[in-house]
Parts: sequence; structure tokens; C-alpha cells
Amino acid sequence: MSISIAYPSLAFDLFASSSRSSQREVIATDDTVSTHTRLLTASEQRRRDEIDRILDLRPEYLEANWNKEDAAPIPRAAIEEARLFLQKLPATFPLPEAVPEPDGYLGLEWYANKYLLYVVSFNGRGALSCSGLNGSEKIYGTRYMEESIPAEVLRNIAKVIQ
Amino acid sequence: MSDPTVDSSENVSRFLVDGDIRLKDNSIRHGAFLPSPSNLEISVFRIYDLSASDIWALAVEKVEPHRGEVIGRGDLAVSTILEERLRVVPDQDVSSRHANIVEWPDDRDARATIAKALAAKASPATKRQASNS
Repeated sequence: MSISIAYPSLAFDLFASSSRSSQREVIATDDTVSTHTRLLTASEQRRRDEIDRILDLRPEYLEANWNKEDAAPIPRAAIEEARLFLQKLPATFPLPEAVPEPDGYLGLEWYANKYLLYVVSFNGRGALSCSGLNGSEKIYGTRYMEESIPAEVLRNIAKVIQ
Repeated sequence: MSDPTVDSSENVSRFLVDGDIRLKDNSIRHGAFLPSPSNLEISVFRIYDLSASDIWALAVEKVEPHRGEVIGRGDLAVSTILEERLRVVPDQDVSSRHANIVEWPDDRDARATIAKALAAKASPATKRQASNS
């Protein structure tokens, strides 16, 4: 599914990463299955490495009570959901900071200042728990990943980073 | 005997530990104000009539044994907490100065957003200096 949105103030090309046509593909075929393995460009590999670095949480966050105030553990599935989300994030968007949250969510935080920030949080159950501030306005709601990141989520991230 | 109350004009402190403060601008991360699902409470301390050194002594006595080193604090007027439709409930033993921020909404997204608003209002963090401890 593709996103079709118009957002005039968006400074970043949301579709840059999907509009490339020169990426190489290797196709392996046997009798029953066709497997497509696309080799990553050097810049894509660097970004994936950076994503891996961001999501390399300290082991204590995977345990209960990691904040000594009865925090819920961050599920490994939440980390993998966050990884998938970041891999789908257009390459023109800067990568966020990963912030473990005491209620067992892993947040991806884009931060400009204390009143302009947006966090997409994962708990391993498939939902995107979104929350942020834009001045005095509170922005929140649950969204779901389909084949791509919901356009509203991208717009809210873009407000923080532009 | 009636339950103790906290006046809306009071200030309370949320003591901060490793990871609660952004280095770039000393702002407080929302996680410091996001309650655990098991209790939906945020622990704070009432700081009326206390000097800075008294407040840090409170942290050493009441918080560090359980949560580890306190590196700073975020102060909030109780009125700003009430504006978020939360309540501040003091312990029965008022001499403990402890209170909990309670009555968080059921909706997780709403809680996370309120936590960000409280963190913003409590920012920048008051960092604990060596001379304060």
C-alpha cells in the first residue's frame, strides 16, 4: 500500500527511499518458492547499522522493575517492531532516540525541545502508541502499521524535525 | 480523622535518576513521569519549608535506598498537576513528605502525553551538585 498525502510544509521527501529504481536485486528460485533478496546500498547498510545501534538496549531493560519502581520489562517483540518501523522510515528522516518506558513500551523519540516532541511507542502487540507535544497542543492516539508507516505519523515526526 | 491533603499552591519534587535528564538541555524525559501499569502512581515529595540541602537530604534518605543515586529533581506546582486532571495524594504520615500522583487516565496514549506535559513543566531539571549532597 502506498501513502498518498499532500502536506505542503513537509520539508522532507517522504517517498525518497521508495522512489529509487536503481537498487540491485538478486532473485533465487527453486521449484516452489521465489525469494527476492535485495542487496543494500552502502548508505542503506550504514542506516541499518545505526538502527541496530539505537536498538541495542542495555539488558536490564528486558527485566521487570528496571527502574526500581516496578517498571514492566520491554518485550523483545517491541524491539523488533521498532526495528521494522525504522527500516520503513524514509531515509530522509533522521533516526530517533530509543527510550525505554516504565510501562513496558519502547519509545522512539524525535525531540526538538520540551514542548515539541513526538514519540512512537511499541509493546510487541502490533500497535503504535503515539504521543507528543506541539506547543500547548497534545497529540496522541494509537495507530497500526500496514505495509507502510501511517502518513499521520510521518507528518507528526516531520513537524518536530523540520 | 480526615485524610491529609495537599494544597494546590504547594510544590512537589520528582527525584530523578540516571537516564531521566537529557544532557543537551537539562530537560526531563517523560519516562520520569510515566507511571508503571502495576500501580499507576508517580512518587513525589512535598518540599514546603525545605532548603535545597534539606531537599537533597530527603532524596538521600527516602529515595536512594530504593532507586539508586539521585542526580536531580523536577519541581512542579501541585496546581499544574491538577490541571492535567490528576490528583496528589499524600501519605497518611505527613512527616514522610511523600505523596503520589494518581488518577491517571485508562488510555495509555493519554497517560504518555500527560507525562510529557508534566516533564516539560518540570524542566529544566535541578541538577544535584556535589556540594548539595
